[in-house]
Amino acid sequence: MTDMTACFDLLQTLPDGVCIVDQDYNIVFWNKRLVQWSQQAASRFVGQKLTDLYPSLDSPAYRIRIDQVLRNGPPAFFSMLLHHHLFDFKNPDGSLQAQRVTVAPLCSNNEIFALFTVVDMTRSVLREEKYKKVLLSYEHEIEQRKQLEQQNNMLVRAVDKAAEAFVIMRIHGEIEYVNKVFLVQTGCSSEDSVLGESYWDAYLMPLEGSMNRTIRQVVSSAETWQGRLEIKRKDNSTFMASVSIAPIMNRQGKVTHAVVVQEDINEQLKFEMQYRQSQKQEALATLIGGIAHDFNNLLSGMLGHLYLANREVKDMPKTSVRLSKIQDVVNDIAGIVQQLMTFARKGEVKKRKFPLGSFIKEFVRLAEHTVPDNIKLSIDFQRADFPCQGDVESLQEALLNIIQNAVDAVVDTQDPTIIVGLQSWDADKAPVWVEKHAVLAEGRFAHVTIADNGSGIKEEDIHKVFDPFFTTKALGSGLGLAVAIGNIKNNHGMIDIESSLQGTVVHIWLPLLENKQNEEKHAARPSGAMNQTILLVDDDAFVRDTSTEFLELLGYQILQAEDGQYAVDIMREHGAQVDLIVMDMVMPRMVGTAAATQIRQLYPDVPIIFATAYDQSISIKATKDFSHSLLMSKPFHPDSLQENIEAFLHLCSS
Amino acid sequence: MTDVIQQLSEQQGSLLQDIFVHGAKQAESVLEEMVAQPMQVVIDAVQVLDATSLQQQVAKSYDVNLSWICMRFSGLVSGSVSMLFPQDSTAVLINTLTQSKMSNYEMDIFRMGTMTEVANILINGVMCKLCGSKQGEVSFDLPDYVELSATDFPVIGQDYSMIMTSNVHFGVSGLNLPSLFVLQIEQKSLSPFWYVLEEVGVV
Repeated sequence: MTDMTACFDLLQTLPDGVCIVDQDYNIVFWNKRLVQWSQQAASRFVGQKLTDLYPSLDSPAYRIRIDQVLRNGPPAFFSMLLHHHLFDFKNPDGSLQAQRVTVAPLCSNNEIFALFTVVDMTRSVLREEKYKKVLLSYEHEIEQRKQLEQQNNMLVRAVDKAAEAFVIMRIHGEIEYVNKVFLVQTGCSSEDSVLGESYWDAYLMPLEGSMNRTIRQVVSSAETWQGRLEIKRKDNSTFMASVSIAPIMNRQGKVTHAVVVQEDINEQLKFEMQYRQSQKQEALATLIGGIAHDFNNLLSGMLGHLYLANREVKDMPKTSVRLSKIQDVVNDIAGIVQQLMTFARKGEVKKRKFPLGSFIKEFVRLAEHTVPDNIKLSIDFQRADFPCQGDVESLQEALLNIIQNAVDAVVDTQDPTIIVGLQSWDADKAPVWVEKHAVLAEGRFAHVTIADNGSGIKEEDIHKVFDPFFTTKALGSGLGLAVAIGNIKNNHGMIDIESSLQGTVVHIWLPLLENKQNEEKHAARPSGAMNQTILLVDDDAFVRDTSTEFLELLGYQILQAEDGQYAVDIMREHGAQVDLIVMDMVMPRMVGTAAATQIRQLYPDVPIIFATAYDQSISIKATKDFSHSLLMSKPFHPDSLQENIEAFLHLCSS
Repeated sequence: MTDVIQQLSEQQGSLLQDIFVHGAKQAESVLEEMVAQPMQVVIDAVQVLDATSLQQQVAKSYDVNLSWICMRFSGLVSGSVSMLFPQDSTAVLINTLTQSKMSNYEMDIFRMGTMTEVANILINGVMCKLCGSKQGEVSFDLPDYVELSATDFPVIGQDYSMIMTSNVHFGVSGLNLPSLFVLQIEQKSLSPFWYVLEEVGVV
């Protein structure tokens, strides 16, 4: 122990706790640091068995390892996490001291002792915990930043994929970000070429008055501005855009940036214009339809009186000739009205099946006679088929009008040429037209083109060419293309036009025939039948009177009614003597079909001739369920009225 | 350094395998009692390698970061004894032994201490046999803990040192956690090393 005593003095000075036990686990040394930590005198420990004071050390897990040390084996290491508090020393705050303990052999006088070194890890634990908290806060911050970065990336990807252009600029206009759509819209090659430019100066067309300043003020005052602006491309062309400019504020609430969302609305504007054009045509058609109706009634009256007058002046040839000429004029006026009705799609359509290829070839052959010799009119197709169903005459009229326009367009052209084309319609190859006429996406169509190499139509005029009375020609009526569009639409087709300085192409799409058999009705020819009673129903006194006079001349007894209700009343009183009713379709109080329905309840078989000055197709639908009925268009010539009455009465009686 | 792989005689191999197995068994019982749950510590056949081969084997077998616990010894026999743990083994061992949840591979002083103790238990179980010789003493340094990547494992020992390794498998909760036991004996100590092994034998 002599050697050991010298060693003890040294061990007293160590900063760590040190105790020494002999082979029997008796404590032979307990240094000052352990006295301090245990808060008991060394004498309380020295001479005591370590395993008595700390029984856990008596377990095999410790004894095996400590025994090896006492056999001069390698030092044993007891870590803090696995053993926590090998010696239950308390810290000043009452908590147990965290420890790391090593046990090493100590030889003295051929005796081996176990030297326990206890290191206070409390501060290390606190430091570690603090470090971990800091680390955690950093990790948390990093995680938050990652999330923000992910959100940002997601936003950037979303903005990049958006259909609208996005621009982020400083409040004075200096661009800091643009998405790909903006580059496409403005024709810029790369983002780098845009960054730093002024959005206001580089991309906005000069605004009227103080508009520019107003927009800036709105955004500066943290409000969003929305409206339509003309945007400048890099090649100095422009397009209209729906633009929203919203402020971006910093944390202090100050507007530092603005985000611009910019949508190219050129296509939308085109559609709007087409829609307005369509609305305008509809309104015009309604107006014209109404006027034509009134004109037809007046013309019916005039024709009737002219017929009667002509009969009265049989012995006055000069007067008769004059009256005939007036009758011709009236017929011409009726023709013009018919053309207007065609534009208004209120004309009568006589449908039949025909091969469009052959039809156009034949048409071109005939049309050649109307085209000056210096103009080359040709076809560029061979096929004769393309089965269609429609009104051949109205189609001929439409094509003739278009050809006439083409002739006028190429008059001053060198090598004037008009080419008529016909091909199957392939919607996939012409998306531009499908966009304008959605119906072209489905169904089967024949595609007719009439192309000329004339001077073209001015851009500002092209959307007006189908308007009635629009013309650029000194002597033009302005009805050619208006009639054409009406005729094509009557045949369930579509028509459009494209033009450039190199010429004009009129496109016509006509539906190809499905395999349906539509039987045409054929009216039987009448034979004479006189001295019968006719109830004449018309709200127009002029028509009523002339028709009455004319029919009475033919030997008919005439009853008159000024509207549908009056007609029903007459039929209730005198229905038994009425052989035929001539019924106007559109009248006040009660329309023709309503009156006919009530009359048929009284007299189911009484023949009715419906007369209409409106669209026959509508009237056909309205009267198709009436048996023993016939539909006539106004104005009717007295002869044709007579023919129809005789034939119809004959048919009904047989 | 010139590496010369020395071959073990059958008896030497057998003795060496015996003391390795003894250490593993002792470690198994100590660890089982410490954590109060079944554990298996299984040691494979001993291999003799040179330093370069050891480096290559470590780099090939463990393509990850490693915990390396090393104890040097000197006296009658000089050299070093160490254990290598790949980080997956480290994480599971720490979680099992400390009943904690190690959410990352970041090692702190407590986790380093835990792994140092695990290696110390196994190393002491093997090396205590060398300490009972009457021919002289062997004194050990305290264990060192080092973290390194598998490709940075250093050359250990001097010229002609003999390096003996064995894979050690910790069986915990049905998992097999690999590690490597490395015993390096300096060339000058080889004779006393074999002498002591033969002298003490294995109980």
